[in-house]
Amino acid sequence: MGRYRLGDIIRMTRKSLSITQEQLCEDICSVETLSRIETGRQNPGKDVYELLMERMGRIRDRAYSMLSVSDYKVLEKMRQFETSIQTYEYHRAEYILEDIKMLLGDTNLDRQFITRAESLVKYRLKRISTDEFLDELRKAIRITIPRYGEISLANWPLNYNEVTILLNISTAYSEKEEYQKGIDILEEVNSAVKQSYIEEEQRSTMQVVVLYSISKWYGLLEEHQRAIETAKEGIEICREFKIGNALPHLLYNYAWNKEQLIDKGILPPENKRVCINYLKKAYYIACAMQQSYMEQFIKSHLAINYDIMLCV
Amino acid sequence: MYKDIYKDTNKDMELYSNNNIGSAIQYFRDIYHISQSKLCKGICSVSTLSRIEAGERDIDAFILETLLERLGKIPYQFELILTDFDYEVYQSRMEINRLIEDKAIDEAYKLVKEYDKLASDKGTPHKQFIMLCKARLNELEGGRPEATIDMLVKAITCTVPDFSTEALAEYFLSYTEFGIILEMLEKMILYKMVDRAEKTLNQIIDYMFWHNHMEHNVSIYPKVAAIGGRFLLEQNQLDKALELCNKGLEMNKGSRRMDYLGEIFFVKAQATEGKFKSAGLWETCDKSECIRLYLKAYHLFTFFEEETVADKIKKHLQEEYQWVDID
Repeated sequence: MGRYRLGDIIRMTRKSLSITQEQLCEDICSVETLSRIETGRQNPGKDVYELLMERMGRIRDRAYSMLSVSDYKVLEKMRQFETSIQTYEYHRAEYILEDIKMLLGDTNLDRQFITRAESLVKYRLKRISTDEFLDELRKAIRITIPRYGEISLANWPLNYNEVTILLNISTAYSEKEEYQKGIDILEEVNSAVKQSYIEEEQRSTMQVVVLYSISKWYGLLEEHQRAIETAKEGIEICREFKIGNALPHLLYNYAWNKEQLIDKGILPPENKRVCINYLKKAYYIACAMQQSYMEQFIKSHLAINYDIMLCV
Repeated sequence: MYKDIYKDTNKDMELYSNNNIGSAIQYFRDIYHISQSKLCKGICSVSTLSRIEAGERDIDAFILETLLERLGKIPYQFELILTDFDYEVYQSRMEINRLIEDKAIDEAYKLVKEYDKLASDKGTPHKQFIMLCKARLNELEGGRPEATIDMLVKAITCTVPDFSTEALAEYFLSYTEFGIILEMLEKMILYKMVDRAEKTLNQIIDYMFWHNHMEHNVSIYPKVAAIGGRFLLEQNQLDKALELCNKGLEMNKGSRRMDYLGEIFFVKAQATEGKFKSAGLWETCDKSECIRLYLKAYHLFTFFEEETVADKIKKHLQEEYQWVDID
């Protein structure tokens, strides 16, 4: 979401598909008109906009349905839903979702949200298997990206909802221990998000979550060097945009992967000093962010591995 | 023929999108029980707001943004499809902000002048932006502090007409408006205008108390706690400083932001220590609480590479607490 013009959306989508203005506008409007639309010197009519988007395989609605009244009214309920998911309150999430369903219309984005949310709740409540969950999520993403799975998303102008679904898909793969598949999806998401026109704050928040998952999975695949590099990239974004929620996790990932390299004899033991420093930082930032689980987790890690008792 | 259809659908589209935003404003206004006159005070007339809510009017994007912000909705939660005029203005704002950040004073003045020509008759939010820029530029130029403060007062008065006379709590302030008031507070503290600063801070705290439920408090409160807490600490009002810090931390719980956390913990540590000392309990008290607070502040400051403050805390921990195990 954010501030942009229809022309931006058309231009970004066209570029992501590497097609020319001529190819796109044939029989819809003149090249000059398209050019004016893309540079914002003219607003497209609704029909022209829809025809252009349809030709690019994007079903109408992208901009319009986000402006639908139902979106505003359920905005807060959607946020409550996401919070319940994050705090593992799945029954509550299911209850809120029932409310949302009564309010939502039948636009593509509404259907996409419902498909994802329903399958997520069912999966977390163990009513469907991971594979069934994946099937549902693929259905959801194909509502707005029909050729998902055949094309690269690395240059696709992904919106917030799509990123959320792709995060869910990659998490599902990781729960099947197919980490590489999860990483491949998120690497594309990361590249798409980097060049997207989403508001900076929202973009950086998404990037941090994406990078955290990638670094974790590289670690589990024992590609520690890549895990470290990815964590570092995430930490830098946290520093620049002052985002703290995933920062303790990223600092921990960085230290943990270094520890693995030390254990394997790839890094000299002197690196332990850096690990301790990162872990302490992770601990105190987790305290400051009031993340008690992470706080305890890192504290015991320091106690067990380094015999360090932190000031209590 | 084609042209006619084009025109119609274009018009249809504009109505459609504005209509939705209008009903969204009405919807949020209803759930928060805010009257039309309270919401639009200083921004537009009640009849204009009625028309906006009914979806009958094309609205200046910045008036729309201010209304949404007053309802606690940050613009990026919404799709604002900008008209070409809005877009030009938006770009111009970004450019001016960038120039001010780069301290390119002359160029910034030039652009502000152009912005003035372009948008000053398009509504109070634009006038406010212009005055805010002038205040910042005056400060950059080394102009008189009183003049900077006056300009900031003028800026806020553009959309909050009785800012200096009436209680702030009567208003529903947008994030931007609140930001200007906080900037004013910071300048008053910087220029040692203690009485004015205290009066403004009390107004702010009073406002926050009455508007506790608004969702953007989550992002505003930590900033208030950091700036206000530091000021109160310097005025030796330790209990009040602690109260403000705790409230700021409470509001930050569950948030992803960490902008002001280091400063809040630093102030909290100093205020806690100060209280022990003034009660004559320093020699006998349990110091671990203070150490923990200082360490949180220290690690936050080092993470953000603010070495001067970090070193100060480190030195203090070593000297006052004989605490060496820091990094």
